[in-house]
Amino acid sequence: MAEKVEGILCQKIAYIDLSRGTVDMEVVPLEWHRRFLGARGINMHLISRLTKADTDPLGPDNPLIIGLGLITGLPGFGSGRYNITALSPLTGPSKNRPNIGDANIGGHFGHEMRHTGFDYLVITGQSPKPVYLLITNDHIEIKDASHLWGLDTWETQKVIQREHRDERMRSLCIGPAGENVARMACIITGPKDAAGGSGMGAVMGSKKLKAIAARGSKDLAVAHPDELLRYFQEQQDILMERKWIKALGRLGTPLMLAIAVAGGYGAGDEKTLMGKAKEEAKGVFAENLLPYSLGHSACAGCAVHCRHRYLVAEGPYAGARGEGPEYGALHALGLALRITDPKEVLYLNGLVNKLGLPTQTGIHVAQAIKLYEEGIIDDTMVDRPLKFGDIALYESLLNDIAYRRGIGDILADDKFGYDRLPPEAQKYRLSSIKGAHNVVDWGLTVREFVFGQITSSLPGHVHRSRTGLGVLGLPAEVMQKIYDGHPVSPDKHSFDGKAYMTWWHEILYAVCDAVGCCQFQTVMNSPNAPKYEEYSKLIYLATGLDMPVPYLREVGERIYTQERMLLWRFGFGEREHDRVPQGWIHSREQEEERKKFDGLLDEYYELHGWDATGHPRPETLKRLGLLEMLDG
Amino acid sequence: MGRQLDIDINTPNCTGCHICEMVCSLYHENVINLDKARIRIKDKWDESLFVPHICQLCESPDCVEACPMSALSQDNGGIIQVDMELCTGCEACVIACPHEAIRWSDEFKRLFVCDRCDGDPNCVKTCSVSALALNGNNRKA
Amino acid sequence: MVKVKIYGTLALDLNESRIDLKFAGNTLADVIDQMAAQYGSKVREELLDQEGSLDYAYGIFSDGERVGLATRIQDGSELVIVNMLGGG
Repeated sequence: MAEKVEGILCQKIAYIDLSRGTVDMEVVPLEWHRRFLGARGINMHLISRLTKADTDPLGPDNPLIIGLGLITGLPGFGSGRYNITALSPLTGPSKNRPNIGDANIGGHFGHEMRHTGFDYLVITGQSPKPVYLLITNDHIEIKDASHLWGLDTWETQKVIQREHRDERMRSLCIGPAGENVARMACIITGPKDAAGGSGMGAVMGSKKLKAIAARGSKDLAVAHPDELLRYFQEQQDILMERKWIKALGRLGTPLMLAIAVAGGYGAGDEKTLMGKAKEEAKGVFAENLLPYSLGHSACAGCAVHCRHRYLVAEGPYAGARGEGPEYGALHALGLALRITDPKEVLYLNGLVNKLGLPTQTGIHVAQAIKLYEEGIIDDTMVDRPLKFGDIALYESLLNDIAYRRGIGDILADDKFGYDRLPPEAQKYRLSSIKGAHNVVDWGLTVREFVFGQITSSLPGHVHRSRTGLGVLGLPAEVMQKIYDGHPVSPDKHSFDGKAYMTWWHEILYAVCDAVGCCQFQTVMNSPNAPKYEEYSKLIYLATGLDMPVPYLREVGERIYTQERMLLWRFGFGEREHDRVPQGWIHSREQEEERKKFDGLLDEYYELHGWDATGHPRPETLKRLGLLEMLDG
Repeated sequence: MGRQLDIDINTPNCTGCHICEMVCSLYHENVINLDKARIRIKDKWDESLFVPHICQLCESPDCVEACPMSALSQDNGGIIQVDMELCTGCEACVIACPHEAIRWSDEFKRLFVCDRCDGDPNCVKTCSVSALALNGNNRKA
Repeated sequence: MVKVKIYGTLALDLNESRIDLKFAGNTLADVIDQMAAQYGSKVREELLDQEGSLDYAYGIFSDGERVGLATRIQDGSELVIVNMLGGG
């Protein structure tokens, strides 16, 4: 039966060339939705077609792709998510050679862009002068951004709203960090939603693209509106009764710090407060952020509202306001900098959001201080001593990175900056996984977490396979039921079943991301959460497409194997890259444990249909319809 | 007070999720389009504030009084009735409304004001943070 | 004395982040009973599911390892109760 393509399936893709100043558009081929659903799935497909192994990540040929999920724009299910994808300037084998890059992001931009009629933007070239994109109904203009260049991310978004007299206008933008092409620079929307990893802000800055503004008023026509409304309300009622949803909505991801203390997890570096998760860390535990909370905020379409709106009312940081902070910020801008006063974290959190730097930049600051303590960065390289405990210093270093001033110019090059430090610095390099530097060492205790991180199709990135269920203490029978009848040990110390567990989550999250839903609302925090059955129903109600569970699982496999092929293209696909980094090995015992992680690879590769070198087998590529990727 | 379908707004609770606007347009228009919603959430993220605006079923509605075409009237339940045949889009009602709850769309040439969804308002039902309460009751009560 | 440290939403609900229990029982189940006697029904409502098992939305740890209802709790032990989130 021929399916009528209408509504959501008639959205467009725009190809924007900033060198030529041109915009071309066409309807998104239905075939792409069938094969890859949307967002991450389709973005990576575009990357596979539009890039080569030697495409300069900061050059004009690197495509910056904004891609919405198949159901982005719907109420509920955390449907405000979308992906920003490009080759990464951060993690390639050399300064001018790329690696795969991707960031999943929330906030409100995705929903707004949906209503303009565009689902995908493919931005190539480089503008000679600062510009921004203005996206309205079916229309895209490249506009002068000279008045925006130099502004921080908040100012940029507000100026755009004011000049268009429309507070509904949403923007993705870069701050000074992206403008100065700090390699880790991120893209920000709203007060804090970030395309935080992979250096997408640097790519945007290299194109002199300051912002992408969207304001749409087109109908999002869903296939079955009445049933969708009922289904949403019924699922909402179920969701809001869940204890873990209530906890997330009340205290947000900061809750996880207490888990680290209780469960004995912690970053491997003994000197940080996270080393063995010391109790002094509790100054920044979730409860201690409450005095600064004005309430909560949410991404578009999400009822969980997992972050605070905060305001510091008194003291040296009075007036500091924003949203968040997330668990990662409490570590990178908190404990890693020996900070236990929440006001200081909140202040630095706001600072990096406005500069357009990811919160993980705190790790770079901590690293610089350590190198100074070792005498490798000396007084000829900095204008003041670098030491822990000096917030003003942290602020000035973060600014130096964003503006590429002094030592900041070196730090802004991330792992490539080490080439400009004395050779002794090399032995203090943070660990890398598949080219991704600064991968925080949380210890080897939670096997599935570590295994997921080292095998991740997005180098070093935990969200490809966040095997969160492992820490919930579920009984073995429950685990087995979740994992398709495959036994998976509920013990974090055990390696049993962990290859299957990792693979299982990788496939699910590929679908979750491509659909446009938030991973917090899927089987990460609880087995009782939306997954394939719910996504299948949502896809049907929204688009009319019939995608049963086995079909969706195969789409997940296709998305993940496509990413593995891209890793091979960029030189990080081989088995040797799926290993625990040497820098995480601190004892003989851990050396033995590393062998056990290696021992999981054969089963893991088999599940994915890859050979023993980690390369997708031809029959797998054939089955998944990815044979064209064999050409490189 | 005294009307049957009072919706109280508890602004500090609002998280800016906009789900109310989505379900409003889905229910009334069969599409998702915030510009066709009868409830509006003003998004002031830089002030850490999200402000719902929805018709308060005023006792002596300023909008009805302000309309030079008599296009607006109020029924026994307090709900504002709009006669689009008479409405010219002058926006006198929009300016008069003390709650910024009635809205003219130049794009769609329509006036949008809440009609309480045939007695069971969708926005209240789906607000997960009780920023909206019906007759003093909210989801969490 | 069994020291119970509480973080997260339960600490807010009970308005307590540290409970020193003069423990008169044997297992974690007994600890929970004693806490409930002192702090009310919210303790069981949150920590247990509808079948009376430990609700995995919470984690109860002793010395870095999870404990179950039947785990023997010695006098002098220190327990930590947290909200369990798999990811973030």
